This record gives sequence, C-alpha cells and structure tokens, in this order.
Amino acid sequence: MNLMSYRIHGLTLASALALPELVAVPEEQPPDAVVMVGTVPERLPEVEAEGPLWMAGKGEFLLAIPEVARYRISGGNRILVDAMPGVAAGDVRAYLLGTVLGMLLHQRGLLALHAGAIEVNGQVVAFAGHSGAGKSTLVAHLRQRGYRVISDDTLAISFDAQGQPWARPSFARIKLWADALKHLAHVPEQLVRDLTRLEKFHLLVEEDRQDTALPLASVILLNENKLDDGIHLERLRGLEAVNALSRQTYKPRLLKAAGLGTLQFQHCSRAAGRIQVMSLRRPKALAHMNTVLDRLEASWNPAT
Amino acid sequence: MSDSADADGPGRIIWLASYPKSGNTWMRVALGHLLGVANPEGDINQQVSCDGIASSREDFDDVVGVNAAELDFDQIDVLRPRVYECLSREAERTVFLKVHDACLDTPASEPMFPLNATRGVVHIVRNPLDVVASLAHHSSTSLNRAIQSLCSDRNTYCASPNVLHIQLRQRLLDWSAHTASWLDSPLPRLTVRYEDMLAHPFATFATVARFCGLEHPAQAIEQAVEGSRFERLKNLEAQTRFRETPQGNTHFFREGRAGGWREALTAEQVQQIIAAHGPMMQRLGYATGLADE
Repeated sequence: MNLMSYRIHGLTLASALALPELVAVPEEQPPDAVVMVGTVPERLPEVEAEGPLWMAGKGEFLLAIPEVARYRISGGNRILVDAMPGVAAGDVRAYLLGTVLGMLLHQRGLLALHAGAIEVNGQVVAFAGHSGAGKSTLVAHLRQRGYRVISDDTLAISFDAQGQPWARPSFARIKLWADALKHLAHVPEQLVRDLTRLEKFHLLVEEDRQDTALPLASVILLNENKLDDGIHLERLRGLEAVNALSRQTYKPRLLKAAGLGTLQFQHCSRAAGRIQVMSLRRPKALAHMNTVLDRLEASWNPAT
Repeated sequence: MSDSADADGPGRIIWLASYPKSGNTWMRVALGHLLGVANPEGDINQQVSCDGIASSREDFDDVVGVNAAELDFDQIDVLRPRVYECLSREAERTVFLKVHDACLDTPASEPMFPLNATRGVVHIVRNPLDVVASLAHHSSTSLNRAIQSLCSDRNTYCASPNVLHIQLRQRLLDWSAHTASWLDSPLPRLTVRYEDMLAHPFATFATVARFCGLEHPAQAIEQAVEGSRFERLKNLEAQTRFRETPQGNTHFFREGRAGGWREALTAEQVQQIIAAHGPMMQRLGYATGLADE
C-alpha cells in the first residue's frame, strides 16, 4: 500500500488515508505511527472498560462512530480505520484527527491537554477548557492580533531531560462555528466544512505552519464569568494548579480506562512545577473579546 | 398517570423536570437547604444547588468520549440515555438533575430518560398564564413572543446550528405537550404546582422530601422553606448578582407570586393561551374561565 507521510504533534505518521489537514513531509523511516485501512472488529479481544462509543483493552483502544467508521488504536503506533461505505472522507478524518489521534498521544505517554495554543515571544501559551469554553474563538482572535497558532484543540506536550515541558504544534487550522467566523469577518461558505452535517468550518492558518516544539510557558484555564464583574486572571499554585491541569487533560475518562491516569497526573504535576497555571474568568460574549485580549496581552507584556 | 408515593425507580437520578420559569430554581434552593449543600449564611449564589442539568455538554463529552460538537442533534439524542445510565451507575448517592427537555423518545425509539437510571421525577408545573410573563422577562422578549414559544410544538433550546451552545439541544415542544410528556411518562413521579409551593410551602415541600426519600424532621423542612423564601432570595439577589441571571438582565427573581398575569396580560393574550392550553390547564386544576377567582 502506498503510504503518505505527515507531521503533527511532533510525530511522523505514515498514512494510507490522505490527510490534507496535516503537513505533508518526504517519506521518512521509520514513522512514529502508521494509519492503515482495514477491518476493525466490533469488540476488542480483551475489554477492560467501555463506554457508549468506545472500549479500552490491553494497550488498545477502539472507537466506533455509528454510520461513519470504527477505529482501533494500538500500542501507540498503529491506527486502523474501518470506514462504512460511502462516508465522506472528511467525516472519517474528523474523528481520526480528534479523539483517535488524542488517544494515540496518550498511548505514547505524552501529556495531551484539551487546549488551544499560540506562540508568545518564542514560548507557548495554552488555553484549556471543555468544548464550548471558547478555546478556538480566543485563539482565532489572538491570531488576528498577530500571534502564531500552535493548536486549536489538542496540545501534545513532552518533557526534556531537565523536566522542561515542550509544546508540539498541531494543525494549521482552527475549527470554528459559523457565528464565530462571522464575528471574525470570514464567510463560512468559502471555507472547508468540518463534518458534512454541521455548521462548523476550518479556518486555515497555513502560514502559521511549523514543526518545531517550543517551551510551554503557561496554561490558562478558560472560565465564564457570569457575575458581570469584569475579567479576572489569577495564578494557581501548588496542588490547586496540578489538579486544575489534570482536569484539562484530553478525555480524562478514556485516559483512566486505558490505565494511563496515574502517568498523566504525574505529567501534570511535573508541568505545574515548571509553568504558570492561570485561571481566566471572563464574560464570554464576543462584545468583550477585545478587552479580554488586552488583558491577556498586558499579562505577558507587563508595562515596563 | 398519577403521582407515586416514593421515588422507587431502580436508578440513582431524581429528575427535577419542568417547563422553564415554573419554579425549578426555587425547588433547587429548597432541596439544597434540605440536603445541607446550600449555605444559609451565604450569598445568592450559595443558595442554589443541585448536581447539574441533564443537557450538560460537559457530562456528555466526558462519558461518550466523542464531543457532542462532533455529532449532530439526532446522534446526540440517541446517546443521551447512555450518559444518564453511566451517571446513575457511578453515583454514590441520589443525584438531582434539572431538566427542561420534554420527556421524549430518542430517534432510536427508546426513552431519553431511561427507567434504569431513574429513581424518580419531581415534576414542577405552573399556570402557563404566569409562565408567559416570567418567560418574557427572563428572555428579554415580548409577551407575544413568549406566548408563541409556549404554543409552538417546535420550541427548542440551544438549537442554533451556527454556534456551539454551552448546553445540548433541548426539545421542549409546546407547554401542553411538554407537561403531558412528563405526566404520562412511566417513571415514578411526583407533580407539584408552583402555586402550592407558594400557598402551602411546608406541606408541599414535605411531600417532595418524602418522595425523594429525604427523611428529615419537621424543623429541617421549616428551615428549607425559610431558606427558599422568595423575599429572602430577592433580597440576597439585590446584594450580589445571581449567576443564573441571563446576560442583559438585572435580576432573576422577579415577583414570585401567582396570578400576576391578571395585570400583565391583555384579555386577548389570556384567551390565546387558554385556547391553546385549556385542557391541560384544567387537568392541572388551573381555572380557564376569565371570571374565575
């Protein structure tokens, strides 16, 4: 089978599926992981934990999206994709490049955070929060202020021998819903649609593409301030910082099911010792966006 | 059809089900005080407590493993029973979840709120004539728009396809159909009227506590009634913004009374609501003749 090579999260993937969202690179041997097409059983041979769409086995993970595809992720280096006939390739990729790739990162023992991220002065500032917390929208607005996008949803982090956490670049795209795009003065109809059934689109940020890991400087947790009393940015310390960070790991339930919860907690406590963990409580309405951006910029460029 | 004496379902979830603006928050304050999770000395935001809402995106994403943001509305609905089964299975005590959805079947033709995850339903209803005025205030909309939403069988929350709502899509249907969906569900259920919570708070709330299996002395019930007294909540809200107040509104707790519709609605608006919802109003014991007192 003819495989194409791509880079994402600092990994080389050799893939039987075309992955136009990723950076294509010349063939390199050996790849960190392969993406193959083949038959995925309905159940793993040894199921240790399972949920509505997933099951975890020994060193393996299975994700089944009804009417789209089944995915089997094994040993941190192999993804098998079994797509239903006639399903749009983009729909198959949406889950492959989301939960499936996230579980591969976990299996490889990387710290994976549910976070968007940008580059600030040669370092990475990440914005973590659950789906709907405003990660992508914030990242897209920061990009309009000239910051390079590192990730829009999942941030892979590795540690060097000195314990410094390094953030690895993700996609050259930001997934945004139609209304958020309009606020950024983009026309959704001119962009690539994410899933065929949803009003969610890919804002490409090709010129931000890069493949070099950068030191992680801070993780900012996104919270909504519903009390109408302004913007609060505060640093968390000690165990509070570690716990806050570990709540932002990518898919914590799946992580635990895969037996990797302890490792991720160790990663989080290592990272918390080296970076700033901050909590941002701000009104979510887009009308406040510029004030929020000003406040963030002031925090990393303190007036001298 | 009729009320059950006990929430004796096999699951751990007690659904606090209501059409919006029918006293759900009020019920949650009273329960919070009874369960000892509300702080009688605290500000308004420490008064309301329950374990969450059935339409929580966060709970769904966590349990399902794939974000609701990557599924369409029907796919999400099909999976919601699995989420509740998981939450019920993992609960170490009774869990109280607020629900504004109608009690419907999923596109896979099974109940959205499955019996095996359910301990019971506390179903709160309010005279739709008063719901309208409260809803118009809460949503910063006109009375006529509020009436339209109570009369539309397509009434939904968080259903715009163009934004990622903080909650999952909720199908409410029109007021009568919403109410019927809970009244006619086979789940163990206690239906309480907002008007009875107001007129006979102790007796009504004692019945709710008994249904929920909360064995408490009369004194604790009295304290919960006092803790959830409307004037007290309104005063607390005057001091601190309540986090459930919609953006653009100054307050959440408005009048807290029954019969405000007499001043708020025109005769035509009253007729419109009664024409649409008269039979269900009668079923719940609400007067449908204009001259009724």
